[in-house]
Amino acid sequence: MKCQNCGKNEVTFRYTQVINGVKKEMNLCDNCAKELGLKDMNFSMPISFSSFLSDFFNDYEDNLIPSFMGTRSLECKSCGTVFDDFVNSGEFGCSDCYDLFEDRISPILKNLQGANRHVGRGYREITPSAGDNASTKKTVKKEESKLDKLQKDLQKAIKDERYEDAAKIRDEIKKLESEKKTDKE
Amino acid sequence: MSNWYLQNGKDSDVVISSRVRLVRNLNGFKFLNKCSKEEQERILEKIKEIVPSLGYGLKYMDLKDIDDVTKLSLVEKHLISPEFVMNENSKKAIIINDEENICIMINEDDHIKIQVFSSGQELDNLMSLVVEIDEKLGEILEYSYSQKFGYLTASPINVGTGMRASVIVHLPALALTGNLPKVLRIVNNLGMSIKGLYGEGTQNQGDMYQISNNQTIGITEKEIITNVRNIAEKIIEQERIARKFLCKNEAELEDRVYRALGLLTYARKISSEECKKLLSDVKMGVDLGIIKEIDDSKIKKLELYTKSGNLQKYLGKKLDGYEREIKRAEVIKQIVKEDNV
Repeated sequence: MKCQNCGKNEVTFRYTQVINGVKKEMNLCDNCAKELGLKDMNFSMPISFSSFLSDFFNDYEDNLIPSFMGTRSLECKSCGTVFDDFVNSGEFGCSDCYDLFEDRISPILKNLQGANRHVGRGYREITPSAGDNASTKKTVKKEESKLDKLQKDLQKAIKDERYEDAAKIRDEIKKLESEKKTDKE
Repeated sequence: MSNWYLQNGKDSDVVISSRVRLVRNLNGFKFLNKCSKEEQERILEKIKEIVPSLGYGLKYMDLKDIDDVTKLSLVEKHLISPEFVMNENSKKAIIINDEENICIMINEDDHIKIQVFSSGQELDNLMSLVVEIDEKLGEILEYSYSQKFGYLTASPINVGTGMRASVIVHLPALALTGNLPKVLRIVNNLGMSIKGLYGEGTQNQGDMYQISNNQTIGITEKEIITNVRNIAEKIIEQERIARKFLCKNEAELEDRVYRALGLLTYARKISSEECKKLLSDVKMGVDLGIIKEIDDSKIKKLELYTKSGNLQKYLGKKLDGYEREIKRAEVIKQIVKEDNV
């Protein structure tokens, strides 16, 4: 359809006016709409990531577990950031803020990104030169993750109704756990 | 050898370029929004010192020493962000090599933003390169890092890997056949972001779109690359199907792309917006083998040197808006006339 006013350009702007019950429709192109003063709707609103963030967080206020309540008045010793600063700007002030506001950040990240634990590349991970302490820590971690994996397998086996497998996995978990206990003793 | 943005890479009928970037902050310094001018200066000095040991032919350049036309040309090549240039409150610098495939922004939103670029779809190679640079930097400098949250960033949208992988794709056929909104919706539902490179929605000139990952934490670097690559491959496939459909109506398509070529090459003055639109059709014509008068590499040259900043760089002089429109038309004719490589 061509513009009603100039008859040259394609219609990109439809305008409906109702005055005293009289309906008037116009089909115009961009230029004519602007010329007729109908398309002056450019209005730059101060919308930024943080303007959405603040509402995002305020929703949590009511449902907050009491133990988190203290976080609000906490102030970061390194950079002076309080949690409200973050809510307003969407940015933290320094790396220490992540420690200080950890309890608040975890659920926010979960909502924002669907996860709150880093699983990517590590930075200067524990090197063998750090001594025996580090290596025992590592094996503990390994066993824990093995236990985690078994737990997951168990859930899956139950879900898939593979009860024979589930029983086997359950026994294995029991064995691992008892081993751990005797180790500790 | 010419720089990456003048080359054609893998799947370059649809994919213009790929980029991978990592956001890092230095331990012991506040994030940029709380950083004093002196602290920013200290960050610059600290990083400036170690640039020679990085290799790759990287050079340190203070942003205040770069003239406006060069800044604009860098923004047009997507090497630095418009915000980086615009916000003059903080002390900034870039670390860049002659090939311009590595560009590190210092003191943008975070202390360090390592970016690597390539033409075509090269996400996997780019990831290896960016990790290599990151390891070197991270060895000499001390990053902000936590076991739980990974690499710490000012905004929680970057925390974790700090990685964003993106590809720029040219989707004229999906746009023409009216399938683009569908594609945009699906991609957004898959947790990726896709946006018009030059304006949103129907305002988008040149049918260029950028796809990138949203999630940066709880996901490995490899997974990010794989996800973006997979989505890009699907979009490439869809765009090619749409182009095949357009080819069925040979006369219409040929008329469209040759009209664009005619206007582009015979105009005596041309705005950057009109140029982008026409180039989009001409590029599709060349990629489909309809237009044989010019080749891929000329398209790349046209795309680059018709942008205001790079046009002025090409001609080596400053021009005002009206002069640019005339000179742009002249440069287009010059490039088209050059012998095909």
